[in-house]
Amino acid sequence: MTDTIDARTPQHLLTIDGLRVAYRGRRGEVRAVDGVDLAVGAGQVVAVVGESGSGKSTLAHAVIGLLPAGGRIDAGRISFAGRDGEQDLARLSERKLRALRGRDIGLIPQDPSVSLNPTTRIGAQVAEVLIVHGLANSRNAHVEAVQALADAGLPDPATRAQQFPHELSGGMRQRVLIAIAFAANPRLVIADEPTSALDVTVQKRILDHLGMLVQSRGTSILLITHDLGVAAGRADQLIVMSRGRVVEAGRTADILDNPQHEYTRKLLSDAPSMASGSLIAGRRTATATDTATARERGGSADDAGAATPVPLLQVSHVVKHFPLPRRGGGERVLKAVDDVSFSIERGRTLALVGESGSGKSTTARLSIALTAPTSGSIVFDGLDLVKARSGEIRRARQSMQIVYQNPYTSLSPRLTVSQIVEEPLRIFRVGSKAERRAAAADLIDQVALPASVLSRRAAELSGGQRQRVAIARALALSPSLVVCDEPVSALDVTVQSQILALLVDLQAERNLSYLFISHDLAVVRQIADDVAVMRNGQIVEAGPTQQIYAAPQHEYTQELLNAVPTRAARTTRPN
Amino acid sequence: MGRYLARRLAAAVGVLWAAYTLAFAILYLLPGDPAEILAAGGENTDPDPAALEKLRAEYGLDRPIAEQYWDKLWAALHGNFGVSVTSGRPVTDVIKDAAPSTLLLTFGALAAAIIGGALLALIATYPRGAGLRQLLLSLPSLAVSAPTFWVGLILVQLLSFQWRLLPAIGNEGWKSLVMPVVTLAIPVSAVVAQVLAKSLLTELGSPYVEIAHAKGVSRTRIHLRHVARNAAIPTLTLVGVLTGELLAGTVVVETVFSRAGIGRVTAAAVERQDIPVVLGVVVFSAAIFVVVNLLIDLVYPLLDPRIAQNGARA
Repeated sequence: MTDTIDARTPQHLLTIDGLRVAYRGRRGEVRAVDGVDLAVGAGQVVAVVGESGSGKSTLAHAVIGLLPAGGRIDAGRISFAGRDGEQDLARLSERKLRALRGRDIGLIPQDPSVSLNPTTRIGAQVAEVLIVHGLANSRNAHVEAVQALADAGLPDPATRAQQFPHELSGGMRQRVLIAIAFAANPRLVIADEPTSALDVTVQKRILDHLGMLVQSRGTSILLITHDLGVAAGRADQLIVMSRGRVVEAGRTADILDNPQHEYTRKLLSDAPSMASGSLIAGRRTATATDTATARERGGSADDAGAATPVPLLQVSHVVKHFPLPRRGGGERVLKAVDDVSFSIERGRTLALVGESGSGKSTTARLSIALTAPTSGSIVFDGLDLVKARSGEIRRARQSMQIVYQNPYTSLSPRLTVSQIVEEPLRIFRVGSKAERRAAAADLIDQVALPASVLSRRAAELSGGQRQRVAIARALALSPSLVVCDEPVSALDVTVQSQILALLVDLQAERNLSYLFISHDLAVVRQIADDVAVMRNGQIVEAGPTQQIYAAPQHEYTQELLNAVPTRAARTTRPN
Repeated sequence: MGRYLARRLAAAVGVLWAAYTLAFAILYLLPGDPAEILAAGGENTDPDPAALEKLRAEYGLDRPIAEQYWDKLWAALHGNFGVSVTSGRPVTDVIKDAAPSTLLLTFGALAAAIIGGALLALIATYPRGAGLRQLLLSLPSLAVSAPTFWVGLILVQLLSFQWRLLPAIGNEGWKSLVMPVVTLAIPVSAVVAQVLAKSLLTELGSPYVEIAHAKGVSRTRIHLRHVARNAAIPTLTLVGVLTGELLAGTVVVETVFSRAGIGRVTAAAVERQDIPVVLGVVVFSAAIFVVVNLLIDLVYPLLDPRIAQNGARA
């Protein structure tokens, strides 16, 4: 048997016919994959695109026989041409599947931060895949592992092999997982949202490297993603899934240029891209007189009609240091926020943009006194939050609220939605019990949720519904400032666009100010009046959104904008 | 690592000092005249005032309490815990004689509890079928709810009196150790099993386990190589606490099985209000507890490399 397959042979490496997968749970059976057909040719990249719940992840796990508890393949064939010849993975014994996993089929998971064993050295984790398949012995496995790390593009692989996962950044960890997936030189690698947990510039480098590996080794990739931008730049074939079925399949360029199915079109229009229009354009013209002047002045001065140009939030020369572990020398500090100044006016949105570690989340926490700055001043609505007494800050909290990134962890799963939304009112003793209940019902209505969710628990809701509940909770005390810390990055594109629209509507109704934290430049473009780009704790560039996007001055801003995955036809790989 | 060790050592010394001081305060400041207790020597007689004065002077009880405390602490630091009121022997000798038997019992029970509990947890979390898993996992709660003295009495009844396999009482030979160790270990091993099983199940749900599966690693290897080590930390923390529990448990177990040891010494000293002995036993128990927890603190970084670094940062 030869290990090299001519990339031009039309032979299929993986063929799925009529696959049906169902989960059995307390509420009966749920069909996650309902009759899916697809084929992956040797050396091909096939992307499966869809929202969460579309069954794309279940499909990927069915291929390697790692369905979660309760999941079962009911019907269909998963024909795979591995080193042991053509086999039907849907009917293979656990023992034979285990021989295939890691050796013939690799897996790159979604979240690199939790996908490595925290107590085992990097090198040993890469070597393990070679050892269990007898591809290396305990003596040469380590050398092979270092080579695999080097092939995955990890700098200084020999040192990294001696380290533990917590000593590596997210991007480095993902390279380690790529090294594990490719170590045994498999024919197929399943990449399940391989970059959705990474920063946009890291994402680009990882995807580029993955593409290079695929080309040099002739490996096939089954790429699972919700991000059409990621799929568009990399995949030969595109498969669009919705509710367990394939709604559209074909060449990537054909589908993007000429989507046939209604769902594909919706997916394309909902995906925020650099071409998307601004959601706040309407609002600006609606508020009449100030629009033109605000645009001209870049929104840096007073609102038309307001007598004094006092911003709602004024952050001046704020510094935040965190102590680092001592090593040898004296005390070391991490300068998380290093001399940052900005202001937000009433009814406007400032977006803080940057990668993880840029200090944007710390800045957000400082802005609403969730943590105290090392130096600098923060004035909110006339109150100096740095010098204020705790009682004053507590009262000010009614006017400044926060919506977090992850609606799965920011809501207590044991409370009902009504209890969650009422809690801020109860804490500040607003109204009677009945009034609070009525207020919660009103808020739930405002965030466009049905009244029936009030009595349900957060754990029973979908991600989008939960984020709406989190927004309702933030609005309960009628704040003037809401900090939105990556409010849509954990959500599907369709849900994402709905939540953004909701935020814009609420802002217009209540004259809210938003401090909007995001790493997603496409989202920011849709919602922000002004943008501040952060890097290493400093604002490197700030200004009106349109200006920043049209003519970025700082090279880092340019780099960020270039790294955004585009839906334009692929240029990185020739066909 | 050096900083981590230094911090742990300082904490250990602090705990010992706090235990001594607290015990001193409770025993000397509580209502009741220590001199009267000393004079009575456990018997209910009315001592004459002159004898009491003499005793007060002899034991330094007529001096201010702070002075007494510093004197006794200073002596204790030099290994002198005074003299037993009832037997007249130095407290250190009383403890030295009783300690080996009790330490054997305590650490024998600790080893049995860890081995038994860990085995049960590892086996119970291995089956994929929910039924068998549930059945095995219900064993610990059953064991926790059985009182120590009752288990001891049942064991004696069966193994000694009915089947005549092991001696019912005494300190002689390993055979006399079996039943006390088992009696003491059962409730503790149940707690170990419960906590370890819970962490094992949590770890089994981690994404890195899925990656191990995707590498083609067998379930047994995943269970023992990947999951067990990550799940061990909470159990290890618990072992430190349980050592104190085991030491306390020796009071009951040594009484049930009529073994000589610290437990019996404690029971007798408390009954006769032999204050120097009680104080000595408190410090001894605290020392064992502190040493075990210090050892555990040293094992943490070996199991999880993140701990030493966090410890140094905090």
